[in-house]
Amino acid sequence: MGSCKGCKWWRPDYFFDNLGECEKMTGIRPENEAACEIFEAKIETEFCWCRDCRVTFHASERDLHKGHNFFCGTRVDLDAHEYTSTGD
Amino acid sequence: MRMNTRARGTKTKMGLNFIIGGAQGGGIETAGLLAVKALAMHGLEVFADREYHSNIKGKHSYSHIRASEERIRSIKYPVDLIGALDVETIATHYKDLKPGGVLIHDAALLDKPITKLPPMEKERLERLKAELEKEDIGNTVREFDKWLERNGRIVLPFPFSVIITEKAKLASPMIERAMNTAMTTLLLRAAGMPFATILEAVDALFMEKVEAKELNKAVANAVNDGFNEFSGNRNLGTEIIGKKRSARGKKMLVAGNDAVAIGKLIGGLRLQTYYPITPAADESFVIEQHSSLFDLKGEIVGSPIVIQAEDEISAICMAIGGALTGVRAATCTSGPGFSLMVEGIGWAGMNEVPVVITYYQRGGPSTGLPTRHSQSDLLFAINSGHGEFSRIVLASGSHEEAIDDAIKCMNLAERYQVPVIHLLDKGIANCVTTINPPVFGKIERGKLTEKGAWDYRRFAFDGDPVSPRAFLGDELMWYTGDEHDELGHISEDPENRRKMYEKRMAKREKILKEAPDEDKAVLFGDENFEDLLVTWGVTTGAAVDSLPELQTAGSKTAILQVRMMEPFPVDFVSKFISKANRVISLEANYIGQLAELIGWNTGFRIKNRILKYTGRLITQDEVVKSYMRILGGEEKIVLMGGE
Repeated sequence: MGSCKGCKWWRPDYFFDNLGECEKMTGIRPENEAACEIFEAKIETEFCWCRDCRVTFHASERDLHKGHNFFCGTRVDLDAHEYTSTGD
Repeated sequence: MRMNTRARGTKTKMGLNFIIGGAQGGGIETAGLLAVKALAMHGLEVFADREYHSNIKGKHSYSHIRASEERIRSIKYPVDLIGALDVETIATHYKDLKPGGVLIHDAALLDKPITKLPPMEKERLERLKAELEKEDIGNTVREFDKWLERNGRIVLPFPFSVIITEKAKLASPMIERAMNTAMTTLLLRAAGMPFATILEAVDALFMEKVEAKELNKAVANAVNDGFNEFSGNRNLGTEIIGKKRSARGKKMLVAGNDAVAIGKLIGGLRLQTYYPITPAADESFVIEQHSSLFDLKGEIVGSPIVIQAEDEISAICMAIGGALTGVRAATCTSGPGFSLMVEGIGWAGMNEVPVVITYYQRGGPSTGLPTRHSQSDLLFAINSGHGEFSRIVLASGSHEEAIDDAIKCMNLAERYQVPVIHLLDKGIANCVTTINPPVFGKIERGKLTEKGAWDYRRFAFDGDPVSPRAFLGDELMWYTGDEHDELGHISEDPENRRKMYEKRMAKREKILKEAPDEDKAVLFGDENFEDLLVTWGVTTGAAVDSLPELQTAGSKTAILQVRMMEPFPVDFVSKFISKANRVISLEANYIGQLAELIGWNTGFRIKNRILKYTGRLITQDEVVKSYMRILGGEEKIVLMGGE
C-alpha cells in the first residue's frame, strides 16, 4: 500500500511540500502517512502540479517535467497576502 | 538529533545575531516579527533587516535579526543561528553561519536534494552547484548537514512536521501560519529565552485574532515540549541576557514606515496622498489605521484624510491642493513614483507651496530592485525638476530621526513655504528596531496673514523671501505655473522676473542661516579625529556601530553623518572635512553621490570611497573590513556582502 503522496486526493503545500492536505479529510497530513481506506493512486490529469518546478503544467507540457514529482493539485493559503510584504 | 551541543555552542552574552529564512509568502514575515517582538519584550534592543523578493510568492526571503543590551543600528555577519524553513535557506545562508553556530531545520528536509530549488535564481544555483562540487559535499540536506558539522557548525534537524501534524493537531490546514511560529519558538528557546516570553509575544502579535493566537500558542507549546524533551531543558549554548523589562524605560518597536507615520501624525498631518509603491506604501497604511486624533480629554478632534490617488502625479497634485487650503499635507513614494512627481514639485517650487514628499529610495533605475536597498537617488532628489527653486532635502539616518524629521519637515515646509523632500531609504523603511518613545515636537505654521486683509498679495515683496500665507477661500489669490507678480498674475516683465526669482532663491540662505547644526550634520566619535568617514541614511548605523573597532584599528576616527543635503551646509561640513587627514565616503550607490555632492560644494575631492549597490545593506563587519583595506592603501572598495 502507498502513502499520501501517491494518492490522487492529497495536495502538497506550496511551500512546505512534505506536508499537505487531503481533499476528502480535514487536517494536515505528511506525504509519507500510510494510505487510508479512500486511497486512490494519483493519475495525470489535464493540469498537474510539478513539485520540482513549483508550477502547474498542462498535459501538453508533460515532456518538460519528465521524471519530476507531479500531483493532481497544490495547496495554497488563500490568506497569504495578509502576511506577505508587497513588492511593486 | 544531536545532544552534545552546549560545549561547542556560541556564547553571546551581548545578545544574539540570527537569520530566519524561507519562501516569500510562506510565513517568513510573521516569523521575523514574532522573534523581534519576543526579543524586545525580553528587554533587549533589537535591529532587524527584512529582505524580501519582489516576487510575491515563492522566492527566498529572510529576516536578519540582532538583539543586544546595547543599542544596535545595523546588521553584521557571521550569525549565531540560522532557522531555515526550507532547503533554499540552507543553501543560501550556510556560509553566513559562524563556527560553533547552530543551523535549525525541519528533519523532514533531510532527504531533499540541496540543488533542486525551483525558486532559486539560476546564477545563484550555478554558484551553489560549483561550491558543492568543489567541497565534495553531496547532494542531499543530510549530506550537507554532515559537511557543516565537519566544519564546526551545529545542525539541529528538528521534527517540525511531526510536531505540527501529530502534537499540535491543527484543526485546519494552516501550515504556513504554524511553521513560522514553530521555527521562531525553537530558535528562541535554543538561544535561552524563557518560554513565557515567547507566549507573551504570540499574544501581543496576534492580539484580537483569537483563532490565529490559539493556533500559534498550541504550536509553540508543542515545539517547547519537544525542545525540552530533546535538550533536557538546556539551551544550545547561546545565551540571551537581557535586563528585566521593569528595569528599562518604555520602548517602541517600529519599522521606518511606522516611524514616519508616527512623526507625521504628531506633526499635525491632515492630508496624506499616495499611490502604492514599495517600500513607501506601508506608511500610508499605518496612518490610515491610526487616524483618530484625540485631545487630552480623550475626545476625537480630527482625522487625517488618506487618499490613494490614481497615480503619483495625482498624489503630489492632491497634496499641493491640500496644502493650499491650509492643511498640513504630504505624500510618500519611492524612485519610480518620484520620477512622476517631479513636474508637481516644480509647480510647488514656483508657487511656494509647503508640501512634504517622503521619499524612500530603492534600487533603480526604472523598476530596478523594488524591494531592495539603495542610496542612489540623492542627486536626483536635489536636482529634480527644471528651472531653479528652493527646496529642502533632509536625510534621516535612523528610526528616531525619521520620526523627528517627519515632524520637522512639515514645520520647515510651512516656515519657508517650499517643497520639502524627506529622504529615506529601504533600509530605514523596512528595518524594525526598538526606539525610545518620541517627543512631541512643536508645530510651527510659519508666517500667516490676518484674515480680511484688503490688499492681500500672496507673493508680496516685503524684504523677507517668505511672504505671509493665506489659505484658499480666506483671501483673494491666484496660482499659476507661469512666472507671476505679487498677486499671482502671470508676468513676464524682466524686473518682476528678477525680483520674484531672487525672492524664491533667497530662501536657501535663510534656511541655512536658521537651521540648527544638528539638522546639518552630526559627528560621532572623537572631535580630534584624523580619519573621517562621511556617510548618510541607514548606512550611518553600520558606521556608528563599527566605530569602536575602527578606533582600535586605525588612527583617531570619527563619523560625519550629513543630514541636510539641500541647501547644502557648505561651511559646516567644510569645517570637518578640512581638518581630516583622510576622508572616506561610505554609501550605497555606484558613484559615491554624497562624495560628489561634497566635492561640488566644497571643492574637496574625496578619493577613498566604500560603495555598495547590490541592493543589500552595508553591514557592520563590512565597514570594519573595508576601512582596514583603505588603511592598507586601496582607494575604492565595492562591497558584496549579504544574500
